[in-house]
Amino acid sequence: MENASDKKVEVLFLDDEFFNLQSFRAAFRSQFKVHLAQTTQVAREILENNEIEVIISDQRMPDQSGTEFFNDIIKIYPDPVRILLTGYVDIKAVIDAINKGEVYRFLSKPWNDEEVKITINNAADIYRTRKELIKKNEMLEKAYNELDQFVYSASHDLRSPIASIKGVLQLIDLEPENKDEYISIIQQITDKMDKYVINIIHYYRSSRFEKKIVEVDLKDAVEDLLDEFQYMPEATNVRINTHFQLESPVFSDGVKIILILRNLIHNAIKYQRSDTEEKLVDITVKATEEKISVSIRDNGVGINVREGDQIFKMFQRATNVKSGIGLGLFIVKQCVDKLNGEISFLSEEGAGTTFEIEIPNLLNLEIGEPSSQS
Amino acid sequence: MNKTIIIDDNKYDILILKKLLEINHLSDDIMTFTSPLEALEYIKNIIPEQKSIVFLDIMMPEMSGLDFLKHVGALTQAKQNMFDFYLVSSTLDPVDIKKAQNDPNVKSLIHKPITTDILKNLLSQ
Repeated sequence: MENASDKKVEVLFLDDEFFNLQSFRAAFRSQFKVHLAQTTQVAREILENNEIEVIISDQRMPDQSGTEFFNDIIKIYPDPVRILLTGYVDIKAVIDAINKGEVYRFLSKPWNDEEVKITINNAADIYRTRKELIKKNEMLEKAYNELDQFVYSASHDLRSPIASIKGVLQLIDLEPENKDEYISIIQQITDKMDKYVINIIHYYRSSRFEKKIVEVDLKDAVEDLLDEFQYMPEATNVRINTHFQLESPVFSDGVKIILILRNLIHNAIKYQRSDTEEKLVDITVKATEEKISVSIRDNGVGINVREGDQIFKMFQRATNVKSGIGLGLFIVKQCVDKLNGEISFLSEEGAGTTFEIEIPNLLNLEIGEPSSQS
Repeated sequence: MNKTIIIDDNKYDILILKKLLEINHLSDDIMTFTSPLEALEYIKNIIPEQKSIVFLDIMMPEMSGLDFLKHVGALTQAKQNMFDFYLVSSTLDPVDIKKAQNDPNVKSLIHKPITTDILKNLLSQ
């Protein structure tokens, strides 16, 4: 709400008397963004072209009364809060309009500046609170949908290895002499499942935690990850080149940056072709005062281009060659979006994949400043 | 003896089902596919001499089991008659159950894990 109240309230004032328009503007132009209309025609044009929050209309006008005007526009512009201004004790029309919900409040002519100011501020509060509520509801709806999808996919992905283990246990019963082989299969399945659960935790972190801007040492981050990945079975015989061009300190959400790097580097190492000797991963990291650019290139199995946009969707596995977990690229995309960055990729099946990422460097934000978004 | 085709992207589940069929002497001719696209090619191109039983996983990244059946539905009726499809899934999604029930090619829907009892029951029908 802090952001919203910084903005001047946009008020439309409709009155057929020119003198009233002038004195309204003189009284309120410093506090509000005042739009003036002498006819309902002009008022409609203003409504069409501006985000009007509060409308004040005179009741007695030659072409249409204020309540008639409100009644007309309520279907097209239901959001602005409507206030009726009346010089006559036109009390019946006013009561009627208030009861029908067309009018929030009425002001009597000649108006009292202080009273008008308070009324406009209250009306704007209502307008902005409603807006905020609608926005929050949309976010909630989106979160619910994601949760539904998550629960369905996660329950499938967790249940299917359990079913496999149950199946293998049956085989041990039937063929006890091959017990060792079956136990090693169960081990492989539980390893996969464990990785999946760890990925869910990463996903949870990326989506739920508030962003915290810290100085990120990209070189350290990449090297730490490579240290960790060198023990991956797929990492043997993969040549990894790193290039760093760090011209400026980097400030960003460290947790998300590392999640992005972790998933992309891991994929580049994992999805190598088994039929090639020259397995390559190239990692280039650049930083300027404005932005961070990361490029991760491999000569691995590549991504089928028809899967293009699908690959960032939750739980969609991009390649069928090796067992994937499906969450990784979704997490990457979500992190990049939250950092207001861009991600793109080039890929050819059988020839390799390059991911390019650009993320703004938040160098000029103060360290640890609480985010006003999200 | 039955001819059997198993289509599942999960190699462990293929192994389990194949072993169960073998150990219980329920089939001596078993083909397996981790890629539904390859399986579809195979089914399109063969001239079947005997009826086959097909175990078809629902959730596969390349093509879902239900989409697979749509392609099968486009084959000649004579060909379709040569295959009995059993849909296999580890989820109990009501939408999938409904779709499976509506497909004339589906004999039934089986929940993983598949057991000896389930198989004996199916194949004695």
